[in-house]
Amino acid sequence: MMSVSLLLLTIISLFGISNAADEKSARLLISKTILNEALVSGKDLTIHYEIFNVGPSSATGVELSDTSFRISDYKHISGLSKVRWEHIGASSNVSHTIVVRPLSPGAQNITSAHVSYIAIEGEPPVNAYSSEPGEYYIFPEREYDRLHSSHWIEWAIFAAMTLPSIGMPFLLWYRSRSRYVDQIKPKKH
Amino acid sequence: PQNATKKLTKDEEKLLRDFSKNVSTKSSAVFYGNAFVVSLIPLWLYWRVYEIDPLSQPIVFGAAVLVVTLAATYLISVAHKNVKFVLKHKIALKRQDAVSREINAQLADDKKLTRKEKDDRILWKKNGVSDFEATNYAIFYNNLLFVLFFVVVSFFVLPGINPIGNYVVSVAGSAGLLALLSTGSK
Repeated sequence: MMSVSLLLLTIISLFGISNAADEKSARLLISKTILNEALVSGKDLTIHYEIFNVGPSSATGVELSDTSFRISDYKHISGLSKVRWEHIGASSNVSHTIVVRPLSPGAQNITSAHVSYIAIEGEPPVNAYSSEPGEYYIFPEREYDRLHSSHWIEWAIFAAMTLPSIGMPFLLWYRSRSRYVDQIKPKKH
Repeated sequence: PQNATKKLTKDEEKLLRDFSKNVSTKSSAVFYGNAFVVSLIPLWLYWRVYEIDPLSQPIVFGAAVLVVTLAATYLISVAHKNVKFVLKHKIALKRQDAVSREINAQLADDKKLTRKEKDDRILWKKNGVSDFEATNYAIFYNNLLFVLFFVVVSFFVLPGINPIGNYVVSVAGSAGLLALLSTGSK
């Protein structure tokens, strides 16, 4: 009887303690989004991270680390994949952007980034994960170019190629015509 | 009497030749050569803009190119012949006076030639000029139309279908349209 009530007391007090702890702890929500409209192999891919602190107190020692873009599949163009913020205040946010370039076409599953931060002072760091962009199809460069590039150079060359077939006969005809038509003109006057 | 008959036959033959649709071998060669070149030019666009990879489907692509080029060359040549035929007589009428004046001026001092021979020369020259002009104008007109048809059909009517199909329909179709149009212009 005593042990049961003691147990109940312990549980209730634990709740109390954890509630109190919540009041002082930071809570980070991380979003990871792809900014590109189309993912094309050989063309830059921009990934944007935003970290929101929705908790009542600051988060410290925030470390963002994204290992989902392997060197075998992506070339890193700009931005660090491991970033550290010393301090994210309550109800504030930070953002970070990296640019990578996919090396080959095909389906890719883009997974979450990992964040570790100290939610309550003195306690060990907490792990959190960003949102997962999910599966994307990376288009081959050729297909994308076919649909989107303006190809104006190709058109200019096409025009240059057709010009002789059209221009030369016209010139020949016109020269002959003007040679004979001019002779008739004086008659009209 | 025998000489006279021979001469008449030659003249008649010449007249028949002028009024027939059959062009000389030289004219034919010019038409076929031009048509062949023009039917090949769109391939450049297909290679660069539509990004056809010949190596991905060599047999299909090779067969398509062969058939389409042959068909287009033939059809465009037909268009050339028809247009030239119609034009030649129109131009001949227009050039009659100018050519006569030119030849007469050239041969004014030459008393050795008879009136008939001078007329023959005029006729010959007139035919030559109108043949030359009609040939060139036909090639210019048909090539221009072909390029226009091809661009419109390929890029505005059928941009979505697969590239090789687009090539076959656009090039052969434009050539066919051209041939059709040329028969109607009489």
